[in-house]
Amino acid sequence: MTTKKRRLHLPGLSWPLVAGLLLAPSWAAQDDSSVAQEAASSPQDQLDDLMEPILADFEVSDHNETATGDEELQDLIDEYDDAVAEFMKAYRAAESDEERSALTYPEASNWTGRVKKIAEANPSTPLAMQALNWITENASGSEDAAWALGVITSNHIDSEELGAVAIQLSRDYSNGARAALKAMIENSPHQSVKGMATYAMAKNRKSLADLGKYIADADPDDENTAGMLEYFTEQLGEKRLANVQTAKRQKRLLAQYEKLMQSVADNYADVAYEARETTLGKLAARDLFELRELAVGRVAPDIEGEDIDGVAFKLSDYRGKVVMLDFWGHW
Amino acid sequence: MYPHERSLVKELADEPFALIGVNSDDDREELKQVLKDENITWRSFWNGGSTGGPISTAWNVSGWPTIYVLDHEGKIRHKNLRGEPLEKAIKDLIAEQKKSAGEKGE
Repeated sequence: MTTKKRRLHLPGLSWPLVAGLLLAPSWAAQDDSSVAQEAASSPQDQLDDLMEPILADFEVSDHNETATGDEELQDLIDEYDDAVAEFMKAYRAAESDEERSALTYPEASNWTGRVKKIAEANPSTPLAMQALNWITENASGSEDAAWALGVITSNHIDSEELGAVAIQLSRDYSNGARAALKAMIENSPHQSVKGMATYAMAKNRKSLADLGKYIADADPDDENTAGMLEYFTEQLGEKRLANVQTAKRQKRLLAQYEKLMQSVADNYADVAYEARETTLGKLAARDLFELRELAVGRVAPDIEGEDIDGVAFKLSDYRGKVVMLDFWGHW
Repeated sequence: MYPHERSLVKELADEPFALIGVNSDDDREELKQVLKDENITWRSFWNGGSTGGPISTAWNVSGWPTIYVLDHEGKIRHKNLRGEPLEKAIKDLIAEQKKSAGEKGE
């Protein structure tokens, strides 16, 4: 069992989160306004959101003696959520960076062993699927997660819920994640799962290429660069991290991305992506447009709109000048 | 980010350069106050009050901020540079613009 320390440094940011924020495009659905609003909500709101289900469950969850596997799993999940909420509360209350950096984010690995037992005791059941899914989601990148992905693709390959598992792997660069996505694409009997897995594999290739470029372009004097390098060295290993920084590797990853995304557009356009209230076809069309038309070297499509005061103007009004086009928000 | 953008806009005020925003905030009146308070002098498109607005959707933007740098011919030249490399890229393109304007002028 692996227990990697996940320590949060400075204002509420861990490298997976920072990377998520900085490396623009991802499956993370931030272009869905409701999700983006959520991302922009205050720590207090986020804490309230976390606490709500915990408090709601509090009154009814004290009958452990006759706990079924379902209840046992729910208790473990609640316990973990509780620990996360407690961490957030302490983090919010901390008054200095020193205090903050002394706090440790709850290790999912303290729960995975018990969650794993539930999965093992109830093989090939929906309960096992739920337990395995929890492990892949919360212990992402660990040996336990690799194990869970292996069991999912061997015992649950027929499950229609695998689409949700696939999407979680969009940013998981482990070999286990790729193997699981490949298995889903090849062996799932469901069009929806195949589609989601193809889309996730495409996103995975793209975000790895973006990550490589981002690291290669990083300002060595920036105070965050060293921490970022350390984090991703741990994630990818030194050799792979060096490799993804090369233009050659990025080009290859982007070629894979385009091929996979074209396959989504050609074969899985009608698959619904419910969490984002859209279809894979629409998302793929936008991703392919970005890749082909919003690429370096292409003339930017014009923007016609109005400014904050309501005065109409166009991006092309600034032809003749160098333009920094900044998609921003004050949140 | 604002201090950095402010100083860049100020430094390049007399150069062939424009910082254009696409703002996805949800409250326009509040935003007007922010522009005042933060001394944000550069122009922004209004994205309809949502991160899912028409401009960011057309540009497939899924992370904020997302930054494109266009040359004087409107060509996309860089995407998502930050900090010092961004500033350098902009200045290099300004030099390129001047060179091309100079050649045309001769």
